Amino acid sequence: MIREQVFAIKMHITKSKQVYVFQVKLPQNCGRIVGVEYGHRQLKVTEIPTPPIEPPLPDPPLPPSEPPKEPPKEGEDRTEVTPPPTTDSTAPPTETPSDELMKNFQRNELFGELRLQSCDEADIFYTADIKASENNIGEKDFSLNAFWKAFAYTHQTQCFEDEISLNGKNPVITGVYKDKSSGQNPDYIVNVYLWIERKAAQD
Amino acid sequence: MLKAVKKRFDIQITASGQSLSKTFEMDKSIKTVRGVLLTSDKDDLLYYRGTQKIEINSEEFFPENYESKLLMSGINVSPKQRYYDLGNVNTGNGIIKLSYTDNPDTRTSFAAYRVSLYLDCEMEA
Repeated sequence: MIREQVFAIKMHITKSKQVYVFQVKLPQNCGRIVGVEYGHRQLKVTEIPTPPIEPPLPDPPLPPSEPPKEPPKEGEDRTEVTPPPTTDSTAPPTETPSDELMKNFQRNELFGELRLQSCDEADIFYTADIKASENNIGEKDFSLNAFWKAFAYTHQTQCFEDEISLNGKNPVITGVYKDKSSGQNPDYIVNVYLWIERKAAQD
Repeated sequence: MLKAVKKRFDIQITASGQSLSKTFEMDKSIKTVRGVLLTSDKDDLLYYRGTQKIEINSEEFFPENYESKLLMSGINVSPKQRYYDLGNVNTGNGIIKLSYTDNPDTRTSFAAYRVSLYLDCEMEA
């Protein structure tokens, strides 16, 4: 008979660029590692440094206006050379449909990076970027309006663990979490859940 | 013949940081639990602040500090698939223990809220 069991690892991150190393000791009857899940809790609003606002540049001087051209006199041969058309770099670029789609996307703030490692041939078997939030969950949802907005807790899909299949012969799993948040003094908790298949005693 | 039924058990969280453990007993006619689901009257508080431990028949299925959001389903999931599949768990003595902890999170401000544990069960018809 095989049963699943989950190990919860809690990491409290309090320093910028903090590296948190942990080890999970698997039980002797661990058959294989079947999945990984993670989540986080924010204990303090991170202070994101904002760049100083630069004063606007003065307008460039206008080119000198050309004197009005006189009409050619009789017998005078005047040929006008028109300059070749040049691409104007200051002109606004034309918008493509893909630009229109990307206009409202917001970047998801990155908290950090998680890696799990086994000391056998599998080596690093799991890597994940842990994001602070999902900012585009309601993107292009036609049902949204001023009163009905999309949030992670209303529109999330069902949560399943990230499936992996790794034999449980190696009794120790090492994990490394690196903080990569842009805030000065982060304060958050990352939870990692390691699912294993446990061989129960024969009845 | 087994018939599918849904059961709901509620707890009320009234203080920030509160831990509450409650035991529920199911009918004797219920033989197996197929899935679990967590909801609340204030979804955001449950999503960001909740962690819980769930035991069925004195066997731990979700450990302490397991986040509630991992057992929630949004409206993007069809109603028939919203339960977290446990397989067919024998209910044994029929006792469900829910140990819930409210954890402060800066993305929400606390207000009293209800946590509902739904169970997808099979009972003898």
